[in-house]
Parts: sequence; structure tokens; C-alpha cells
Amino acid sequence: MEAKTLLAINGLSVGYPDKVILKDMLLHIPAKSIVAVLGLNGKGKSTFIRTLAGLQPALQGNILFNERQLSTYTAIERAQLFSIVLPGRGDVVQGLLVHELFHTTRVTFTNGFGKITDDEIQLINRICTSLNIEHLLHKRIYQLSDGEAQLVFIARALIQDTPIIFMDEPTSYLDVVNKAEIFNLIQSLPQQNKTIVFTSHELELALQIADYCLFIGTGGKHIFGTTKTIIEQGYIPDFFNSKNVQFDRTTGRISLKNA
Amino acid sequence: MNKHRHTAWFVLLSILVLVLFFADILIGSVSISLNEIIQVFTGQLPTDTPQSIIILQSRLPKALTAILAGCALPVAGLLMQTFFRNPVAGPDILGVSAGSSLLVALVMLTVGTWFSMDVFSNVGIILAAIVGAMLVLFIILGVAARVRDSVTLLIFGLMFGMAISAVVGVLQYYSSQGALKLFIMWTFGSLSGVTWSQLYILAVIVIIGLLLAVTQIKALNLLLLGEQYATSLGLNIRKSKIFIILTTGLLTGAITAFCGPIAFIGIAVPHLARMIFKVNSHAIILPASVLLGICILLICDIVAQTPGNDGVLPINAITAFMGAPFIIYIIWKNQHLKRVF
Repeated sequence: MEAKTLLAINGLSVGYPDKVILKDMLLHIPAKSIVAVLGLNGKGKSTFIRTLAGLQPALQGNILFNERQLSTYTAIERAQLFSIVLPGRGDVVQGLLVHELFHTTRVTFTNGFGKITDDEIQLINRICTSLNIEHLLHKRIYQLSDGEAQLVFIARALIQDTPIIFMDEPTSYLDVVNKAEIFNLIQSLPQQNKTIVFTSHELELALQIADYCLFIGTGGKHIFGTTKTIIEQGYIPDFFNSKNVQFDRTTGRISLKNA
Repeated sequence: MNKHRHTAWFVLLSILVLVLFFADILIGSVSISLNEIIQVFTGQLPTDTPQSIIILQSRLPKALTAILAGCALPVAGLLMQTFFRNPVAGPDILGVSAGSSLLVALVMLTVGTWFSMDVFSNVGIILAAIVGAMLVLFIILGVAARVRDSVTLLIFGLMFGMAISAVVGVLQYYSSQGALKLFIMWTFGSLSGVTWSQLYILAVIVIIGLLLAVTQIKALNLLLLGEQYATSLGLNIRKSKIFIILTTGLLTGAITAFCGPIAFIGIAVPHLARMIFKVNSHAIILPASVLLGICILLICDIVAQTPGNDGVLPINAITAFMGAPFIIYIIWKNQHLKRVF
């Protein structure tokens, strides 16, 4: 049975006024699913996710959350609907303390000068416990390792407590163990009623956890579908368009052609 | 733990403000005893005695001016540091005070010589200083949108300040002697030239500026997360930028108008507050900067009295003497500037 569509994208064009990067995008994303946005460098993965997150305007077409146009949501309603995880540490001031990052994330939903309630402190504590990052609360952003920073920023998005989380390159700069930890964490989120849309260069790992895939190739070519369909229909090799790598659709592995 | 430490510091600083305030009134070239001061304040000494005149017409307005400048400049500096994400931003560094000087010079040296200076002395100068400060802030904002690197922005601000000073120099060359003398006096930077009627205007503008700053605490904290996270948390970046520029312009302009450009307080005090309180949240750092700023300016004013000397040193010399080594220390200790802030 097809679940209810949470996020519907119809005829969307993304890019910049002088340069359309992707057009005619059609995606219907059900609630509690994981969507991987995959493709080579500089093909518009980040532009796409930034457009969904309202950080840059759509050039054309509709983005509907719960059958309502993104542009009709107020700034605060958006902040309650989706949160973002930017690549690396984003633009966050490096001397900021981790607990200040978390408090400020909750403060946006309070009135006045931003005193947060006990419930909200409990929410922060609960998420820190579940991600095992309590020991990082009194560190400053620059003192975190890359792996710790990634966990902290995913925790920040969870603390924002939204049904949808957009993640742009959540595993960049990470070693394989830390990557696995982040992917396991992402995989566990739909159980907490989260819908995740993430971009990644980790094709093999991403295919293992994603329910849906959006592949973006050269020249604005793109295709969206369930991960199973995408693999079985043999779409993936097309998107590499390279004589150096090959994709094995039975194992889901990438290997060098000449090896 | 943090909370208790913060409360203790706030209590300590508040007591220090009171002590320094009375010390500032007590110390001066004419020795007046504490007893006499109390008699002046309680009305037991007639207002025409020398002690009363010295205290009510000179020392009290001067101490109150120190308090107002001590509130306003650090808050302006803090707002600019968060706003430009630049640890060495401050009203004097990025040319904001220079912008105030230019417009004040224009008013004093051109318009002021055509008309009677009296008409323009208070309202004209304060308006000119505020407009000048905001003009520079908008220009720097435009540059900051294109220049992400904080050092480049800093060099731009310094060059901009120098260019403005050059224009002021040319203006001075072409102006009449009387107007020039007034202007030169103004540029020395002084807490003692402020009269009661100016003090009222100053107090009203500084209080409005501080109230505006307090309403921006939440936005300032969100800005520490960077513009993208702040936007995704529902902050209207453009609106907060306008509010912050308005506030910084009011605070810097008002103080610069009546006290002249006072260096280093705006940039140094927020760092001192961050070092003592070890947090970044503006709910803590803003009030901490206010209290620390008042203490430091009162100390500077006391030092400026130079015991045993009838004269008063320019306040700018004292603030630079104390502020410059501190900023050098901050930069030395955190050679990676991004980590300070």
C-alpha cells in the first residue's frame, strides 16, 4: 500500500536566474521514508536540497508539504516543518558551545527573550543521550572532531523536532567507521516518524539505506524512483558515463573496470 | 555551576560600578571629602558653594557620561562583532566613528560657520553623527556581502576610516579658525565637555539604543549559527540586519557626537566579557558588556584625572593605552582569529 505523500514536487526547476540546473522534476515522497539524492560533483544535488529547504527560491514549479505550497508557510511554520544539516560545520561561529547551539535551536520557538521550558531541556537531554553526545555539550564547535561535529549537527536537527530533515552531505570529511555510524543513525530515524532527504557521494552505502533515490546525471538528466527499481532497471551505469567504473546491479557494488 | 558563577560575577560587577562611580566623583584636582559629597547630594550644602558647583556641574555629569559611554560603546561593538562575524569589529575599527566624525565635521565646519553654531550644537551634531555612523555601516554591510574573509573586511574598514579622516583633514584646511578650534576640541574625545542639557539627550538615545539591543538578543544568538541555519530557524535576516544597524548607529553616533571618537572600548569589552563568562549567548554577554564597559570607562576617567596635576588627560589616550595591549593579547593568544569568535 502506498503511504500518504508528505512532500510533492511537481515540475520543479532549480538553479539560478541566469542558469537553470535541473528542470521538470517530479518527486512524490511518502512520510517516514529515506530519500538519497545521488550524482557526481557539481550536478545540482545541493542546489536541489537548498531549494527544498527554502534557502533559495524555486525557478519554476511547485513544492508541496502536506498538500500545501511551501511559499505559503510562514518562516516559523517552516522551522517547525523541516530542519537542515549543512555540510561540515556550516557557518556556525567556531567558538560557540555545543549546548548553546542546542539552546538557540529551541529558542526560536519561544517568545520574548528566549527562556526555554523544562520540557525543551528534557528534549535536548533525551536526544543527547540517544546519540551518546552528552560529553560534548560543553565543548566549542572547533574542538569537535569531524565525526563528533556531524553527530552534533544531526542532533541539532533532531532537537529542532521536525517531521522532515534535509541533510546536505552528512558524511563528507568522515572516515569509514564514522560514515557507517551516521548511515545507521539515518536508517533509524523513520522509526521516530522522520522523513529524511540527504545528498551523498557514498553511492554504495546510500543505496543500502535509501527507500527512494534521485539520480542526477550530466546535462541535467535525472531520475527518481524506489531504490529497487532504480537498481534493477539498470539506470545507474548511465549516470556514471565513465569508462573507469562499473556498477554491479546484483551486489550493488562499484568497482574499477580495469581492475 | 555556570549559573552560580555568572550570578556571582554580575553581583560583583554591579558593586564595582557603584564603588567606581563614587570614586570618580570623589577624585579630582580639587579635593572634596566624601562627607561634603554626601552633603551636596542630600541638599545640605547650598548649590552655590564651590564644592556643589564642582560636583554638580563638572564631576557628576562627567561620571554619568562615562556610564552612558560605558554602556553604549561595548554594546555597539558586540552587535558589530556578531553582525559581521568578525572578532575585531568595533565602532572605531571599521570606520563607523570616522563616519560620524565626517558628518560632524561637515556640520561644524561648513553649515555651522554659515549659521549660528548654537542652533546646530546639540541636535545637529547628534543627528550628523548618527547618520554618519549608519552610512558607514551600510557601506560595510555591502562590502561584507561580497567579502567573506574577516581580515579583508578589517583592512577595508581601516582604509575606509583613513580615507574619511583625510577628507576631514581637507575640510579642516578650508574652514574658519573659530569653527576649527571647536572641531579640534571635539576630536580629542572627552567625557567632561557634556553639559546637563546634552546629557539628557544622550541618556534618552542610549536608553533607546540599549532597549533596541535587548529586543535583538534572540536574533543575535541565531546569527551566531550562520545565516543559513538562522534562516532555517525562522529568522528574518534582512529585518534583523536593519534593526542591528539602526541600534549600532544610534549608540555609536550619540556617544561620538558628544564625547568625540573614543577608541578601543567598543572592541575590547565584549572580548573581556566572553573571557570572564566563557559563553557566547547574548543574554549573558550583553549585560556583562554593559557592566564591564561602565567599570572600565569609570576607571579610565579616574586615571585621566592624573592625581597631583590640574589638567585632565584626553580619555582617548587612556582607553587606547589600556585597550591596545589587550587586543594585541587577544590576537596573540588566538592566532587563528576564527576561534576567538
